[in-house]
Amino acid sequence: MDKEREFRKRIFFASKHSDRNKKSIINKVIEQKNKFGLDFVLNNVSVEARKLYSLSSQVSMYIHKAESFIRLKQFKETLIGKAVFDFPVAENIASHFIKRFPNKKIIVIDEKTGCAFVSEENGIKMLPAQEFLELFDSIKETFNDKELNQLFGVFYDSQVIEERKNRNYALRMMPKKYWKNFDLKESRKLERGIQKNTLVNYV
Amino acid sequence: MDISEKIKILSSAGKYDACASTSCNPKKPLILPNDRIGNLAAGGICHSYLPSGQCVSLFKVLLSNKCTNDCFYCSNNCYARINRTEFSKEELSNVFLKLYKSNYVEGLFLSSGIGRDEEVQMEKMIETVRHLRFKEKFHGYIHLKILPGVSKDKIDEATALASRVSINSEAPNKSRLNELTTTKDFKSDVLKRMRWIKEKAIKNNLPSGHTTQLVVGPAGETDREIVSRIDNLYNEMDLKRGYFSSFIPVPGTPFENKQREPLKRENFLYRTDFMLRFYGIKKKEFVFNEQGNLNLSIDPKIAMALESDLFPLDINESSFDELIRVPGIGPTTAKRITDLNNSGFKFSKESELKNLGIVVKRALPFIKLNGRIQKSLTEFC
Repeated sequence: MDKEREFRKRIFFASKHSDRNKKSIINKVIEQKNKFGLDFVLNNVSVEARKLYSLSSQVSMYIHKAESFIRLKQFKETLIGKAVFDFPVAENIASHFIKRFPNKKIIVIDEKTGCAFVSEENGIKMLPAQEFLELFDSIKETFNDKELNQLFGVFYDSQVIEERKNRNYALRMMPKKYWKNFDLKESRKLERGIQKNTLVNYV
Repeated sequence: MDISEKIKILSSAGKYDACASTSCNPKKPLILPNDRIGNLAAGGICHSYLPSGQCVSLFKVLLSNKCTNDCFYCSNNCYARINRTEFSKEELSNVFLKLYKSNYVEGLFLSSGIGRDEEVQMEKMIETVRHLRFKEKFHGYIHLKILPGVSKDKIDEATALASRVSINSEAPNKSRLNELTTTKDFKSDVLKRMRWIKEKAIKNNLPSGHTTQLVVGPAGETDREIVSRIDNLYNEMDLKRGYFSSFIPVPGTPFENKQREPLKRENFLYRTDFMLRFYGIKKKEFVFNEQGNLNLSIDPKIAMALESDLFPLDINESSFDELIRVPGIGPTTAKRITDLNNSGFKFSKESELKNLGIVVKRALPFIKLNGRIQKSLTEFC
């Protein structure tokens, strides 16, 4: 990737972060880029450049995680998923699934902002989430996602190797902040009547 | 037997296969039809994590656990008293695609016991992949295991259909493999097939290359033997990457009473493997003890640095190849330092190094800033 594009990408992702100081950080880094050049900011020599890199990485990492934890329900030719996203990235998630399933209609609902991102012929449209949330709930009755969830549960359990259990590493790989959108955990927590939110209980 | 029971048996049978990566780097742009299902992602996506912290990205199953091989460490060996079953191609495709569309998994990892005949079993596996690719129009990630001893034609078909293929070498050389099984020959079943895979992978433009796996411990092999073999495979066979799996005794196998291997050994082998692949470090530079193993009480890179005459290095006057050998500096940070040095920037403070992403605590004893060593090795140790 060329350096200018990499810099623009950092600014774009950092701008999606919820940090209160993001605007001043972005402004300072742009000033530094004009004064010292691209290498200076891309290699994080200054504190601000490092902070910008950190904000940008957090958002891009979050998108990567969100692409993995969101589960989709199928209704006719539509795939629909919802989540409470920490950052406004639902559009990026929708775009990921449009590339993956080009002949399906993709709907990604961000419950935090109350917006739904819907694939259209000419791109992605942002619409109020309400009607899609109703659609999502109605699918629950017709689509056997519980059965699918159980099937995945069987597969998941079969992959566990007792001797390799490593709670700290597992927590590092999937921090608790992501758990609220994790279907499997929620359903199993209910099944086992587990109240305490720890990975040990979850598995 | 219902599908849930089959999943339980056949995915449990494949759980010791370590390959989880789904990242893909197509060598030429793929033209994908619009009525397809799925695509390849450049970065691996993990959809869930096991209690071990290992990522669950692939629907990892065997097509069948019927096997006539006698691998002493394997839960599916021909003497094991277990339920034997197999998927039909429709059953497997159906359940896999449901999971894929709902975003539970990123791709399929398909392996198998060899049944009565490896050629017949390989054909069944290829037929399943063919069904997914052409009937179901699945264009996502498929990792297909090559069974030892199969013909060149089957390897050709497998590399044309899959995103990645692999053949398990299990041990670093012939004599070590002979201690694990009487039914596999290292040279003809593994190395010869790997050479064919290399040839066919180039011909068919296999997007994720080919990999292998070694079981660490049961044959008494040393780390030197393993590192040497894996380095040889990277250089001679165009291997994309090697996986290591510390031996864990499985009840009901001839090796059930053998001692399990520490996971730390596997971890240290991965560290050396990364240095071979991404740091350009040569195998002769690694430090092994008299028994030919890595010292598990000290990080392999620090052990190497302590033995080297290269240090301390002046951070402002070192090349990439020198910087990469400093503990706490990786390929990204080494490149950042050389980029900045080339653009005229000179480092003078620890904080500048920290901002770059260097693990300063580890690097300080081995570098000079402003012409001075920052921390003595005695302080460090």
